[in-house]
Amino acid sequence: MPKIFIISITPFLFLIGLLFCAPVISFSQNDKLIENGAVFKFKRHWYKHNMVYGTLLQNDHNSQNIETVSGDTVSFPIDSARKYYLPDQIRLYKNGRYYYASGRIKNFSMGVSRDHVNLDFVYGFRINKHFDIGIGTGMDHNAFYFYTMDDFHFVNIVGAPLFIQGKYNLYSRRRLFYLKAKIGMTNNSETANIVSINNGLVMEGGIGMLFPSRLRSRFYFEFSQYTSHAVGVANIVSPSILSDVEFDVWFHRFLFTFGVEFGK
Amino acid sequence: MKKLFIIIACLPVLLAGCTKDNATISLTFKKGTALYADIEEIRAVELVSAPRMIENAGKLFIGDNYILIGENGKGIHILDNADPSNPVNIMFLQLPFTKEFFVDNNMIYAESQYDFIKIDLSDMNNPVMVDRVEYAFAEAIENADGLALVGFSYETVTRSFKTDSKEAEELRDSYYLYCDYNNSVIPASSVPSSFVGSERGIKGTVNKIAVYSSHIYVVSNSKLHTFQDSPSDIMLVGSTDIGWDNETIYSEENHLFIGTQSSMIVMDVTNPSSPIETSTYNHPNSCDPVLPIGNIAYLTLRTADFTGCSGDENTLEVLDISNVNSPEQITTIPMTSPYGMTMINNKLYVGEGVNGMSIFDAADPANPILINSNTSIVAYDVIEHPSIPNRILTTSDFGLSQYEVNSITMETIFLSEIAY
Repeated sequence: MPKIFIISITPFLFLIGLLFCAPVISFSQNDKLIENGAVFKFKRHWYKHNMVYGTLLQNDHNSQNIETVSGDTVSFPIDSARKYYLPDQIRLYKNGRYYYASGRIKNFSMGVSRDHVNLDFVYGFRINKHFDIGIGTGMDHNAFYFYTMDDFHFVNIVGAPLFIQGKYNLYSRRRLFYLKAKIGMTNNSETANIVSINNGLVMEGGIGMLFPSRLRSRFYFEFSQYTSHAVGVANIVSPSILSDVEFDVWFHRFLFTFGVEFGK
Repeated sequence: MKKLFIIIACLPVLLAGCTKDNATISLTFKKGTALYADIEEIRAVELVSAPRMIENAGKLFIGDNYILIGENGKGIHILDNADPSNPVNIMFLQLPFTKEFFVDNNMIYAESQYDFIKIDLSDMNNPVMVDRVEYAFAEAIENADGLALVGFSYETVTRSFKTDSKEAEELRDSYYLYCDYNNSVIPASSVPSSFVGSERGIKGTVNKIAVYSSHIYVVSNSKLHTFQDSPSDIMLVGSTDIGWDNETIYSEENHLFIGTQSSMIVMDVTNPSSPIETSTYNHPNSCDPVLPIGNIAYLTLRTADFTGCSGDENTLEVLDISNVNSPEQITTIPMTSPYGMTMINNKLYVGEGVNGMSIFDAADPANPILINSNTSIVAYDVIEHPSIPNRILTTSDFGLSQYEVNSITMETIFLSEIAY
């Protein structure tokens, strides 16, 4: 019986890349940056809109004056806003979408590649509009395989990594790209056919793009190079293998990651 | 800016090569280390020698009054069986490295390394080598000293290698890792099949040689070798690639039935010099002797747990081969560990190794019914005595046993044992 398996996910990743880049390539005037931009989200029924955004003209405890994109000036007391983002906290565009420029950031993401999937949670802090740092954990699944006469054998390795992560944000006129790097240790588990396994190094570096949003969450995707290490012993059932199989494996994966970032 | 997006979109293509495993595995497996010898010295060994102890029995043939027992890699014992209760070892035929032989019309056909040999046994006390086809199965593989590869010594080794190394690649194609005098890997496909012989411990008459219409067919791991036979000589007329893992061959009328680990191949030998594959019946991976009788073929499928056969199957399959172009399964009977089998007076005897022997009533050949299962004996193969009714011989790790079968109760009565 022929042994068929996927040896390359390149076409798959290429299509995903195109899919995500397509809407990005088409810009509009609404994507222009608002200087000194601020966003105020109001308590229910206080104002005809839930949210007002524009250039912040006046900012004091008693009154906020905002010039909206239509040219109107809106004044309101600060305590009427349930949430607000001042110019030093965000980077605002004319369509009301914005990035966080500072503050606490939480990331949830999923990365996929050949014989790999990982789920990450990162609790981070945007120090300034260029630098993020964070600490993260999650779940990594990697697999390698080898053949014997009778079959091919997968060795599945599941680990819970603990890592630190840094990002350097590069703003184009309308978009936020970032360079990412993470390093840590993964706590590999004795699961399935794994008899014993050591913890290993995990590293990742890549480039991504974050989409601005009017909401608290914003999506991002990234391409990255992932590496992790595992040393252990697996139990493989095969008539031609007369012992457990010791392995020392470096997983090198080119990842496509999709994630969501949450700010304040 | 658009250039940047295009670059990002193309990143997967540029970096896809970065998805790989750099894996080193360490495991224990069987390694075959090459043995070298002067092939001419081997060919010059005297054929007939004094009887000797049976130490590592392999192939087996039962004649009217004699029994031939292969001594793995060394030759063939000849036993006088005129008195079944007291078989006498009378002679040893020295055929170095022989593992496979077949007897037809008092002629022994045997593989011997690279060569194929025909021995006239008409006068049991004076066997004569009729012909030897040199390099019938392969050209000699030589070492730096000009000595020919004559076999392998097998050992269990633990070794580390990368999963994309040559070693890993070879273990994908073979149960053994073959190495030459430099300890370099020899591709399994380059190893002459006769060297592999019966290393999986097949005992008995499960054959790799068959005879039909003055032609001898020898099945190797990947080929079917065809020889034309005449009273004075044998001649290689062709070798055909028929796939991998070939194990047994059986001729029935003008067809050859070849058992492989994953299929049964049917070949038409209407033109005996040019066998033509007519059909293939695929089955789960296992070791599988074939016994075709008339329009029915019996196929035993055996799993890995016993002798290194892969798969997960222990069954007796009954196939309809009335249309040999399209064999069809009629029924499957669960077994414990089926090995060789034979049909005697509409009774199908199936050896189950250490799990005994099962006897089926095959009056309706398409629907064999289990009538007796004897777990007190060890039977890898069951062989019909050529001239005495109700007499069977079974092979085991301990030797060759003879039994009388009660034709009514189908109970087996022990007669004698040739221990080895």
